[in-house]
Amino acid sequence: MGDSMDVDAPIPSTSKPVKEVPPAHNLPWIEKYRPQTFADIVGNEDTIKRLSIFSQQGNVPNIIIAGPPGVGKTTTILCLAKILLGPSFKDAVLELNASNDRGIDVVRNKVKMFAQQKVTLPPGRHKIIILDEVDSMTEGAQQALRRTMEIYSNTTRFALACNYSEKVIEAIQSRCAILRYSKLTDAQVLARVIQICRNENVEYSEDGLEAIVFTAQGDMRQALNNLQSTCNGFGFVSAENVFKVCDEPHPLLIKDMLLECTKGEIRKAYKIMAHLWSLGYAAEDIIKNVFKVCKNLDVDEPLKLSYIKEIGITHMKIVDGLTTLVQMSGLLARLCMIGQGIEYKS
Amino acid sequence: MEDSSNVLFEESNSIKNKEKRKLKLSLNSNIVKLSKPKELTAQTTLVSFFQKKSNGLDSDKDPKMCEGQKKGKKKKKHKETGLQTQHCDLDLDDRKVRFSNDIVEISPEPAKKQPISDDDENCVKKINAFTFMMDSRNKSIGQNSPGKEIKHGEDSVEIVSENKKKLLTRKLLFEEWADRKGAKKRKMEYVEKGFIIEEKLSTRAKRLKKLLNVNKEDLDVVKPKASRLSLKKSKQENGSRYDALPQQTKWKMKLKVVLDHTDEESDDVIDLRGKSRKCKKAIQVSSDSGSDDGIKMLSSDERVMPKKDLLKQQGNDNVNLAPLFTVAQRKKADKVVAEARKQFLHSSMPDSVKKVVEKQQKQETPDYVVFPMVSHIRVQPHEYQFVNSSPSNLCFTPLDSRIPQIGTLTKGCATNLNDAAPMSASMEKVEEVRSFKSILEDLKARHPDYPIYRTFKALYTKHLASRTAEPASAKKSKKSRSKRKDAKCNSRTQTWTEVYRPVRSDDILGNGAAIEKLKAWLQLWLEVNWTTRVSNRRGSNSSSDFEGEDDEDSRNDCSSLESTYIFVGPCGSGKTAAVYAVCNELDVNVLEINASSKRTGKKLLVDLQEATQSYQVRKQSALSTFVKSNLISDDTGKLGKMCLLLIEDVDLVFEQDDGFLSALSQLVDTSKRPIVLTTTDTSCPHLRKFPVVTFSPLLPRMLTPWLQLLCLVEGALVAEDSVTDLLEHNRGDVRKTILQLQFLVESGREFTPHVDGIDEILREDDSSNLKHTKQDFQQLQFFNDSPVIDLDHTWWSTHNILGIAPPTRRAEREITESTHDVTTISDFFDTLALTDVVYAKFNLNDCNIGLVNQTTHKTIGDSLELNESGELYTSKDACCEWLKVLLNAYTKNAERLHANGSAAEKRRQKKLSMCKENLLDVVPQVIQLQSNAVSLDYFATLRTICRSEIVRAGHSNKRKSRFYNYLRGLGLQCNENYFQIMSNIFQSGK
Repeated sequence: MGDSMDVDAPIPSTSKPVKEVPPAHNLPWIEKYRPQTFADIVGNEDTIKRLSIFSQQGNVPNIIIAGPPGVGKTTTILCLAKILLGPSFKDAVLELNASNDRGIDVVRNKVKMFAQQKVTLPPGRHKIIILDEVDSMTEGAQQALRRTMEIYSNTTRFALACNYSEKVIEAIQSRCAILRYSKLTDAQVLARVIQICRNENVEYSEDGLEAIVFTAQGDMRQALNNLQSTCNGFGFVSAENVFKVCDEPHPLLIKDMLLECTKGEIRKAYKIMAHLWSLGYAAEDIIKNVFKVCKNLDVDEPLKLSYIKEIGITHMKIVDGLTTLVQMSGLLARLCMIGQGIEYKS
Repeated sequence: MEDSSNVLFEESNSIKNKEKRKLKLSLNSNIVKLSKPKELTAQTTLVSFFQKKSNGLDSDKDPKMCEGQKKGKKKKKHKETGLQTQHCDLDLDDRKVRFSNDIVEISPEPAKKQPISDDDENCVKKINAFTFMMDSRNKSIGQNSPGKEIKHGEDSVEIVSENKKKLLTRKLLFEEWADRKGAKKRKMEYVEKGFIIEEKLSTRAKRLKKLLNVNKEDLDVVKPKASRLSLKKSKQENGSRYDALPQQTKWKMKLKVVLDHTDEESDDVIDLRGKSRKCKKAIQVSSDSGSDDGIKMLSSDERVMPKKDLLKQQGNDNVNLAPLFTVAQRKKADKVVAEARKQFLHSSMPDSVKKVVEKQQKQETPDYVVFPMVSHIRVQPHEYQFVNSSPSNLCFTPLDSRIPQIGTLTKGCATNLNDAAPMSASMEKVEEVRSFKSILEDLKARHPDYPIYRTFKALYTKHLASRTAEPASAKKSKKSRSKRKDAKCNSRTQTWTEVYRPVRSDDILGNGAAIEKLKAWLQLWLEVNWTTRVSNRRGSNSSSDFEGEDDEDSRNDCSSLESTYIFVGPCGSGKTAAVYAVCNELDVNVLEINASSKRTGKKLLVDLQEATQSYQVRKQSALSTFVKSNLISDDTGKLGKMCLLLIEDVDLVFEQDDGFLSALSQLVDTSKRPIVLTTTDTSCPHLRKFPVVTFSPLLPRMLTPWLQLLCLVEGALVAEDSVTDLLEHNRGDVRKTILQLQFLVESGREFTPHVDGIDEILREDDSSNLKHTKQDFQQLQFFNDSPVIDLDHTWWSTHNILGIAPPTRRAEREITESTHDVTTISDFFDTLALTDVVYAKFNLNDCNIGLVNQTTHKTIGDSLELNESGELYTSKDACCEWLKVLLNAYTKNAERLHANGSAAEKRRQKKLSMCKENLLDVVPQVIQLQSNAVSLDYFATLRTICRSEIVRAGHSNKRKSRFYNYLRGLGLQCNENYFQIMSNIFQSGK
């Protein structure tokens, strides 16, 4: 997670951050290209549009933004706070993330003190307490927060970000409007990646971008990190280079393997699997990528679903510790059986 | 010379025949000795020899055992040949020693025996003795060395016949001698004994079999067979021998025939032996063909064999067979038999010997394993085919070469870029509201029972109040809240939850009973407070010295009231809001302690001790009341506000808050103020002692119109369905729903609604519906007390639910309705399992499942009235409702069936209900709630008492009334009839 202070550092003009190339060459691209306005945020357009309206009006209720990593939760909150508060951002925002101490005492003292503080703000604006990764707070700390949220709601609003909203206690959820962010689509990631490539004058090939998008799986942060790593390491973004950087089981191999399975060619499929195994990939790596590839496999839907079911079961076994080639081979065998329409009973 | 030597040999042989048994015994004991050198020297030969020996011994052991007893007597018989015997004995002993030595030296010096066998008479004798010894191992005991004759027969047929004649004459002589000595009788005895022993043997074998069965289950298929086999063999041999022996001794005439017969038999036996000992031959052959020098020890066997057999074997030599392989197979097959035999034989051994033998066997076993492995040397490679019988195509060539080249990632091959159309930011605009009137009319039409206009008015006033710059000008109902507002507050600074929070008890949605209770309680407090205050003031006016008395007085007053209530309910059910609203209405101050601040016991006491001990908290009031006391006495407000202590989330006690609970209990005990605790968790043990007021989450049907109106007031028209969905998603959490509505509505709105006709509506008043809602709340209260799940009923109607008649008729019905029953049963158990899961998951002890209670169910109708059943609206209650529907369906079915249920069933139910009714009167109300305790402990104990009373009544009348006192004390009628009912309740058969 990016720190808010890092965000402040580059100080790009808020409207066109991408066009400005800061001198700091070593700045991570995720910070360099962190959106500063709602317009720049990719994905979850609906929610972001609503929040942008709030950023005009003020009086935003307490919100919890829940979603997978790398979709722009923190960015959204920071954007909102910046737009709402403008110059008084530093005074009127308290940001606590998992790296800060957020025990009960902090909540009772620091947070409460901040909530009680008086900050002159334009009408309709409130102080904002940003609690990043709130699901990593202890339950006690969350409980201690609940009444504070309510009592000081006239002057202070809370913006929470978490990966899993269920991990936030019900009392807090009850005091907040929950916004859910979904993973970015591949197209959205690709668009942004291309944009950044152009900005950074990165040479890329089509398959390189495809590989970046594949490895990211809807996580913009990972996409940018991979892009930067590949760019720094090889200077040219091709699939080969990307997979050298990311070192995942190659999706094309896995795709071939799955297609062999649909044909019932267990031997050919096994060869690929054994090859992957010999390359030293862990069973978990392989199964993850098998799933990723299977998601977009060009087969008919029922087959795909039953494939994914089998993959899921195998993944479960692997998580249980059965990380052997036998398991993977068994998976292939079952996939072949399904591909051939043979019923089997496990 | 040769003849004489032969004769001599025969003579000695016949004697030796007896003596060899002894020898064998010694040999047997020598096994142990032999085994050691054996390990050291040529393995194959020794193993084969040993096997042979053991085979021979084993096969011969059975007869020998019976004959061993005879041996002594037979010895006597042949006292005349004592010298010879002795010589032979010695000879044999020597031989034995030598033999054992030889074995050690066999492989290094195979030629050593060659001269011995080809030497003079003595040597021949010695060899003969050796061969005899080998024979003795190989042959059955009773036979008169037929092997010898064949051995000599190899020279010429005449010699054989001569020998036979000689043998016959000698035998006749022996018989005569024996007859003379009255051996006839003895022989008869022997025979009888032999039979007896045979029988014994068979029984023993049986026992052995049993033992084997018990001990080695894996082998029980093989071993009994083996033992049987051995038995059979021994029997055969025994039989022939016993046939021969008595016949020989009894009738001379018959003897010839018999002897002829024995001759034939002996040949047969030899043949047989030849067959059974093919292994031996095989070994010979292999030794002969494999190494020229050969193992001469086996030459003795050579002599045993008929020449033709040998020739045959030699002829067979050329056949491309793996003799060792066959040997191994043979041996394997024999091994089992041999082992069984051995075991049988060793059964009579002393333990020490057994142990030694076992040890030895252990040492042997690798040899057995090694041997067959050696035999595989000559197995042709094509014999491995069974391994590769189905040649697999799985080749183990390196895979890398065959891995398809990784092509370029084309667009969309691994990702779904192609089919991912960029999501359009579709945001439905909130409908603009132009005219309130039509909308309200529409709403009113939809919810005829709901006080639409009144609610709208109330909401609108709040809305206006929140917008107006000066809160003071707002309605007086908002007085208290407006004071809390910051000056700079405007319409956009507050969340809707703040704006539309209830300010009066009427505003509170749902939980009517709880609020009524709270209000009444607070009013009582106020009254007490006021009276004490007034009296106090008057007292202090008259004389300030009686303050102490007043203090006590007031405490008495306070103690008559409940000082503490605990509000239990999930998040967003309005616990805190209710407290604030009621206090606002009654003009009571609220002192709030929540989890956001430090709550150590010490701090709590320091902060609140004063508040709970004094009557009023506001600082200025103390003075002002003093000043104004003379002027006004009837205005409570001027006397100063009473203070209510609100302690939030008492179930949350963090590590930092040590002493919180003790301080809390101390506060509660000593408090002169009303205290309200709120919690979401009922399970805290330290909260049990307080009276509980339960808050349930609100029902969507009640809230939907309200929320719609709220949105309307905010200038948005929201569809009923979406509001309901939102509520259900939030599980009746009003706060969350309002916040989300606010988020959605405010973010979707870019204009401030301009509405016309609002004043017109505000003039309209439908407060006539007020009483209606009140009534609804009462109804809700009623439904809050809906009965707990009647598991008894479910249990007893299980028969009917399952569609199974009582046991007697079950069989028929199962036949007729088997298919139907299966589905029904499975359905039912599905439902039960579901219930179980839900029950376990949500701990529904306190949850109301109106299982068979139709009254709760009937209110869920099509109408959108408020008088729904008052169950809690959470996920667990959604489950409940769902389960209820399921179970109701079943129980209904059951009840329908129950109408024509069996008489016995009815009787039982009647009894049960009777007992329950009787007992329930007795059980204290408090305990009744704990149905487990009641049914498992209380009822059971009472029933036991009743039963014992009846038993006692039968014995004596004196002690009859022993328990009567207790029972009467409980209010039970103490008569026989009653006891009868009680005791027979679960004994339906009588």
